[in-house]
Amino acid sequence: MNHTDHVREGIDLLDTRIPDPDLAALRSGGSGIRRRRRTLQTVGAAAAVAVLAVPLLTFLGGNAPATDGPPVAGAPAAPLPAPAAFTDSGFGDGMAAAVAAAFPGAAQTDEELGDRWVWRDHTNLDHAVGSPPRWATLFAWNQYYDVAGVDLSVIARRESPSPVIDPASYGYCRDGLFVVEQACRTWEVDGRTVVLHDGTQARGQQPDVWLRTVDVYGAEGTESMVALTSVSVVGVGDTWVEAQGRMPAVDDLAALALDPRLILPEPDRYPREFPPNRPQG
Amino acid sequence: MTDVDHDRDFDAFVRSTWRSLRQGAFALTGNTADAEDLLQGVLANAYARWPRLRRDDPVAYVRRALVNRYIDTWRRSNVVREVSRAEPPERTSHDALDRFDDRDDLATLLAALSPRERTVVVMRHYLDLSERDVADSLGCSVGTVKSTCSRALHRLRVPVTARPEEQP
Repeated sequence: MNHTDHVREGIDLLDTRIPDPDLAALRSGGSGIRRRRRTLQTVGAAAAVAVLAVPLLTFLGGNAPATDGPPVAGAPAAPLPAPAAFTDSGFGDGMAAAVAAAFPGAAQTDEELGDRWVWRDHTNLDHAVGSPPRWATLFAWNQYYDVAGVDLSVIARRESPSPVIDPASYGYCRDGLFVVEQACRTWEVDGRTVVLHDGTQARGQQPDVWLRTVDVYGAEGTESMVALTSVSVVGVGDTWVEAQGRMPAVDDLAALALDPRLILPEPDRYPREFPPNRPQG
Repeated sequence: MTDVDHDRDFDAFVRSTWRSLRQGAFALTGNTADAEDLLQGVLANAYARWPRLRRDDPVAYVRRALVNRYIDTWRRSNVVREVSRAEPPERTSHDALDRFDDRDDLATLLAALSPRERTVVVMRHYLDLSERDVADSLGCSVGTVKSTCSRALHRLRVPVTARPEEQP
């Protein structure tokens, strides 16, 4: 008997006094996580409202999502040094290192990449990724964390500019982006625009779920695409005051969102294929 | 696959892996309450991403998630401890070894190991994760994994013999 057998036999004999799994409770807990994650994905960034719609409209028009968006008037003029294009998973390691530096003890719970579009339902598109990822068209890299019981999402992606986030037309703090928004403000840091959406609730969101989101928009790149970094946390509480008491501070989230390790490099090209299998509505 | 099918699939997965996950979680944490919390968190997360996870290798994912979540927990507690005392948070097990000389007391001996040692032993010798996996999870070298594992097994008083694949 080698030492693996010794250890295995010994651990198998441990009296854990742990009852059989409550499958319903596990599924319920998992559904809650999934719901909060979906909330982060769809309303974490104000831009998401537009981002999901713009590619769909351009697809329906038979055009690529990347080329038809209007330019972002008033976007910062001075481009940051572009990070080197990626060919492997190293960018994700940098994201994780940035999060670990900002929030020691943060535990990563999920990761999603986007190198193509797929239909989520009849009218909405989601990004998806192949296996292995198609690095040449990678335009989204999201990571999700648990920070002492608070859900944190870190989104790095390249966005098609959209009238909804065009500050000349509407402003980043435009009314109507959210059903509820306690505060919104913008400021500039090193040629990048920082937008805080604080205490937001989107349509259809549970009334006790609140978001604090810091978006950072970079300069336009190829095909007028913009680098977006979005850092969001979810707080649960009957009131915004109650919920925000459990959230990381705005300054800490902004510092993370401004970390250059979260600037997604430009892909070689943006995905242009029309997604097949559009569900019928 | 419908949601009902996914649920059925997930339930079957939990039932089939429950025993090893339960024993592994208890070996890591050393107590029922923490092990239950660990299992609940990891399996709820697994359910949240089940439609995608089931297509990959859910057993490997859940085993790694179990250990990584545990590591996050003790690292957080280490931060607190290291503020209040200068020396590393390693715990000596000599007293425990003096008192316990029977492998039936493995739970007590495991509890006397440092969290890092306990993690290495459980990952390598119970959850069948590779030395590379252990090194990646702990953020150390493979050599450190080997030496930590050897020290931990000595503390557990498990006779150290080469695994078949490690024999020349």
